[in-house]
Amino acid sequence: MRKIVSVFLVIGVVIFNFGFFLPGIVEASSLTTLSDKVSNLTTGALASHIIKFTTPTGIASGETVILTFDNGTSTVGVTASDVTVLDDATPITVNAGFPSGSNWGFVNTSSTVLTFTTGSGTVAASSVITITLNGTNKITNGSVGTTLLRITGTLGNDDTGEVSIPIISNGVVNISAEVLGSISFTMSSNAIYFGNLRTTSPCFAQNTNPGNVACPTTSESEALNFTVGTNAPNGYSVTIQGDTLRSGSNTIDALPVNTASSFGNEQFGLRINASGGFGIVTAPYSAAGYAYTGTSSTPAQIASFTGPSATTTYSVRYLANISDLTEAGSYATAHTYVATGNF
Amino acid sequence: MLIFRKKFVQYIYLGVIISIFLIPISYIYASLSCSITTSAGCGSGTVILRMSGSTNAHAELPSQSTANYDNNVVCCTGVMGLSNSCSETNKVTIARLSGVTNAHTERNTEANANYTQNACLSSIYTGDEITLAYQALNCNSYDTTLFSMEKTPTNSMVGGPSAYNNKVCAKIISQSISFNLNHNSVGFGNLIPTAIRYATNDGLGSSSEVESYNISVNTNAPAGYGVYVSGDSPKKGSTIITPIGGVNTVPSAGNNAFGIRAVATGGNGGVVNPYDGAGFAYDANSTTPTTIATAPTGNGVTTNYSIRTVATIDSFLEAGSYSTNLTYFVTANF
Repeated sequence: MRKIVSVFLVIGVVIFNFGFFLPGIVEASSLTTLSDKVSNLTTGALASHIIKFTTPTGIASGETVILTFDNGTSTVGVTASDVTVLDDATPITVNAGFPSGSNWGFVNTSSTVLTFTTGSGTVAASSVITITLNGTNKITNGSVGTTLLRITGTLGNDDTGEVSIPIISNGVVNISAEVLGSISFTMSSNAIYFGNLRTTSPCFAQNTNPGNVACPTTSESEALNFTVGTNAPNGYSVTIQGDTLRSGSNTIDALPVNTASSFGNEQFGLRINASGGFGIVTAPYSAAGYAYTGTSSTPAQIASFTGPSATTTYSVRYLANISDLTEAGSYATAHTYVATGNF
Repeated sequence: MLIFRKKFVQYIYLGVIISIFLIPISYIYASLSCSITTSAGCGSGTVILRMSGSTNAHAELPSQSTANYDNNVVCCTGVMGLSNSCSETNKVTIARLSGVTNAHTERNTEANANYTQNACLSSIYTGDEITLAYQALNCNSYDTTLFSMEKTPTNSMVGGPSAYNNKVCAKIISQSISFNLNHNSVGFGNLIPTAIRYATNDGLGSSSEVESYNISVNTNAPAGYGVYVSGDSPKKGSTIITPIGGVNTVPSAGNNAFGIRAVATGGNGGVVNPYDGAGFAYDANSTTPTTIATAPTGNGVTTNYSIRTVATIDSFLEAGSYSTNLTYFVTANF
């Protein structure tokens, strides 16, 4: 007797909780955990949508899922190729028009309605459906206010759900900043010295005065350096202007092209090494030899870069050689270095 | 026999307990529900109409307090922000009354001159969608039956939902979501490598941290919401001020850096990592948004998010005008 009562009670509980006592009545359920992630909430903006909902009763083959937007939202132009669908994590291919096999069908029913029809597969109860509308053709937001997305159709037991989306006048912040142009330029020395030039060895300038002695620096050495750095969009150039070494009307011949040092021959020139930043030495000053093409009236470009550059250090080496015929005297010149930013 | 009775009672208790745990989840979801009860019994519910009886009754407005109308009030519950005020923006007229009390009723579609009083069902939330219908026999497709009318369209007595075949039906899609952004243009002014700058809504920038703009969110979405932002770091052509990235960092002057942080006040929304620290971060771009705030539930209280925006540059960032558009959006989880 007790077993019989127990069995009837258990059956009764199951029948009550699962609604078997009204087998002829099937009520629509509410879709749950609905959201629509709209990429831009600005009125009239083109926006992508990621629509998610949980189906409490599942979706059978051949049932419809209808998305209806209000508030002036426009789905015009949205096609099947703009849509992706996930059943939980499983992608479902979407066809234009009718479903095919397990593929869902898609129809842009009107300017506010998109209709999906499931294929041969079924969606299990409690599955999360994700519909992403993020193709070439976007949905156009409606008016300022609340847009209601209704999800209806024959899915499950004609299950339904709604999602509210706030549409505002402008959801975008424009952020601006100015970066002012700047350029830095330094020179390490303003006077360099050769000492007494001689025919038996090359002579390189130095930044200390050796006095009236034979040229003390006979191997290449830095005479001075200059540095340049800038944020100029088109970079910078550095020029040098001034004569070759001169004593009255007498001069030491400048090297017009990059030439190796040859003591015993009259030569005046310089070469430059660059380090740091992006700056580069201009030919003919970048090679192993020496040259000088500037004059007192015409500057010669010695370095440059085409864009912003961190600081580049240019090491300048000056060469002076004389021949037996070079006129005696005190030779000097002034070289003016100019850095120009190209903003 | 006594033992059997004890077991029987235990089985009954067991069945009740199982029933409670197995109640279908759809039963739990709140929706508009109205019933006839007493004025005192309505408690925290909203009275939308008072009646002199459960059938063949006159009506009076909820604002009245005639004693013999206290025992048959239409009491509605289940929706947050429900109201009977006809002054609310979001409302429907459920019936027109011939007076504030002792009144006959007519449909809201009628316009008889002596029906000067409106009884309303309204919501303080503009996002709620309130739908009313006059249907015969039942209120299928609606949440609830408010009351019934003896005849339509006018000069009608009223009664409870089962009194007459002319049903007055209502449904509320109770979703509210508001989102506001208080400025659409901010600026740093001149960025320099020797200092940190903060964007301000006058475009000039500041050397000390200040609010650039704020956003506010309010919703009743059961599962809360997320606030997101997308957009590149400020750039000039292909030259970009380096975004700080996904780790909250205090930037130092002289380095290329752009970031935001947020401070939340009010409501139950909160700023999420990495935007909740003392430093700054930015790990979104024009195609991939980042989450800056969430709320676990929508409690109907506004949360304000104060957004602060920082930038600094090195000496060799290309000169010129830098800008970007950051798009903020909220997604409620209903």
